Amino acid sequence: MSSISVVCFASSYAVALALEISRLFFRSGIRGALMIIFAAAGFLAQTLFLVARLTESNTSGWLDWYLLAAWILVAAYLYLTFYHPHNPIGIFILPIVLALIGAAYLLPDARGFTVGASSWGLVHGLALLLGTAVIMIGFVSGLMYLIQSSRLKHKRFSGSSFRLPSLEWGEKITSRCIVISAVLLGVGVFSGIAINAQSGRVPWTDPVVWGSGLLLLWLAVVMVFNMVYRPARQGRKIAYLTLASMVFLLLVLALTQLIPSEHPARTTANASTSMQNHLDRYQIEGGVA
Amino acid sequence: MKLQMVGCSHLTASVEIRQQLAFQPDDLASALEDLRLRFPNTEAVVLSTCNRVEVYTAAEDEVVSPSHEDMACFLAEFHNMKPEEILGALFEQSGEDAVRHLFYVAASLESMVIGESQILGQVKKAYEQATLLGSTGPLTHGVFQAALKAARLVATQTSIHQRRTSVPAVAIAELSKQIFERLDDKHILLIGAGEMAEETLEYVRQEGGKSITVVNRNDSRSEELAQRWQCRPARWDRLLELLVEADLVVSTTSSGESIVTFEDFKRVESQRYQRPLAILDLAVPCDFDPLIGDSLGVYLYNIDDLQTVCQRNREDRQKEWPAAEKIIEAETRSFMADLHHRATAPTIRQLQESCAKLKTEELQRLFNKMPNINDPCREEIEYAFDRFINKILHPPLDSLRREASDGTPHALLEALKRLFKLKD
Repeated sequence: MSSISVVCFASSYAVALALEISRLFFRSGIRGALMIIFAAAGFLAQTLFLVARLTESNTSGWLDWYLLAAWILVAAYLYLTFYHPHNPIGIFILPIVLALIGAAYLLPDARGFTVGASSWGLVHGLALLLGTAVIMIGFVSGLMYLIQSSRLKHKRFSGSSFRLPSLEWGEKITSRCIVISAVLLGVGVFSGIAINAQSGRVPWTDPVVWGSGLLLLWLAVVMVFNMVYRPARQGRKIAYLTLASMVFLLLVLALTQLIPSEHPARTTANASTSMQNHLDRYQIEGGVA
Repeated sequence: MKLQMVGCSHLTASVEIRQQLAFQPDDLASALEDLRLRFPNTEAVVLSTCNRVEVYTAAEDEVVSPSHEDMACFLAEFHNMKPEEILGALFEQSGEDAVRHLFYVAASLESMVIGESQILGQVKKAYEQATLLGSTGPLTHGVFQAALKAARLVATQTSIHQRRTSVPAVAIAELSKQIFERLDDKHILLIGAGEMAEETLEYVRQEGGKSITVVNRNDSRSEELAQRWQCRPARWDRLLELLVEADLVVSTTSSGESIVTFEDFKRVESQRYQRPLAILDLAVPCDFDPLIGDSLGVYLYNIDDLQTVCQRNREDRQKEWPAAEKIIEAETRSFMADLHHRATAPTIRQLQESCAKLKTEELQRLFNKMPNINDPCREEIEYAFDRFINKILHPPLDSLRREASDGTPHALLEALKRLFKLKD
């Protein structure tokens, strides 16, 4: 019998973040292994938690959406830390992970998304979720690029304590993130429109719909700008564009919470249930609840 | 048992003496053969690098081991010199000090540039060559293998080797790697064809640089260098044109004034479309106008910037020194304890064999008197005798082991030999 709560995996990530920050102050031989162990333990706990929640009911909500986005970012963190053990990537990714978990923790637990209703629905949800996660990864690499670029420009050479990835790496990741996120958001938005068109009504006034559309439009403009204006493909400009994309994404996410939306319907049975009540002691008994 | 080292290093001898005493790779076999003829039953390893020439010898019998003077004669005569010419430049270490010295050398703590990584390979090669030529034995095997282990421990448990301290190494391996992930797909432009350019080329190649263009005012020198390093030479008047396609520029000329002014760079800047450009200006005075560093996508570093990094790296290495020293001391202690234990082994073996012989004789006598004894009883009696001997021998052997951890316990070994009438 096991008991997993949001606090469990959030704490694991917080410890991994603290270990990442400790890089700035002292050297340690076992810190790398400890970081991976704590992050992987949190990742495993979060995976079990999400599996339990998603199999408990055929509906999901923003809680699951935020937790899934955090889950993808942790997977990216583990991958990057494994291949770039000397770069403190966690200092940039883990705060976003904790912020997403925090947002999930504070939001009302409204289960409005129907899981597995149709394969198009699955494509719609997954594409939007992955697109969002990729924008966040692009933001992290863009931020690292700008810090590294500024340090190199001002001749503040990095010591072993805070060694960021090379500018070339940052540029490659940020430019790829813009293209991939635009494609994924495009698939997500258009599959959503297609699903609604089948039922005869597309909720154009829904903030999630037009917010996602605006975000897609922004990414499309960025892509076109990159293609047309050659210097935009280089260096800092593309990093600034990923930062702007992240701001855009945050605005869209805020809109979806501030303006009533059908994503998901707020009139579900759980609508009044506080996430905190729900998540504080979310238990998986006998394996998957 | 005697282990000693006689030789010279950058700390004791001038470069001229070191050059005269150095063993060329082709001389090594004859040198070791000469040593074997002069000092039979003595193991030997010759370590010869730019900064040191050291001959390690080891013999089980101290009497046959060569003295300091013997080694000085060997070194002088082998290089057609007089012993008096080199005696002042030589230094000697023996026993534990020789072991510690070798460990320090292998771990690069005795190197001119502390933490340089070449010395470990050189020590390993010296040991392997001596082994191949049959001049090593149990003692040199033990001490050199322990030295390589100690050096690897220092390399893995400290960062003393990680920080580069020469300007070209810092420029290529540290700074350019902060800008570029890899160099094999980059256009590298090397300006100048002197010593610094050649040293830089070595690091560029080490880091995987393939597309390298060398440009120099004197075309013949750039062609010569390009041919030696298999890269492209280019005419001096194409310098600005080459700047358009370059990703990494290393400038090492001895020109008295800037060779690329801000105005020159402005002319080619628009054609680069703000593609990142790393300029490592190793020349004094600078080859590139410092204003170029303000351009978008340009990362310009001059020799002073690089010296700052070198100095910081040197300080970082110095900070690692206590940790490295601690490892070397622990490894030296451990090796010496093993060596001293090994020195007690013949006496212990003699003692055990003597007791075993005594046991066999007494059992034979007993079993002759008890012919009807069955096998289980016989085994039980043999077992009891074994236990008795082990219990009798345990306190003296334990004392011997304890004494051996601080050095060869000559007095105790002698006492045991006399008490138990053990013969060598």
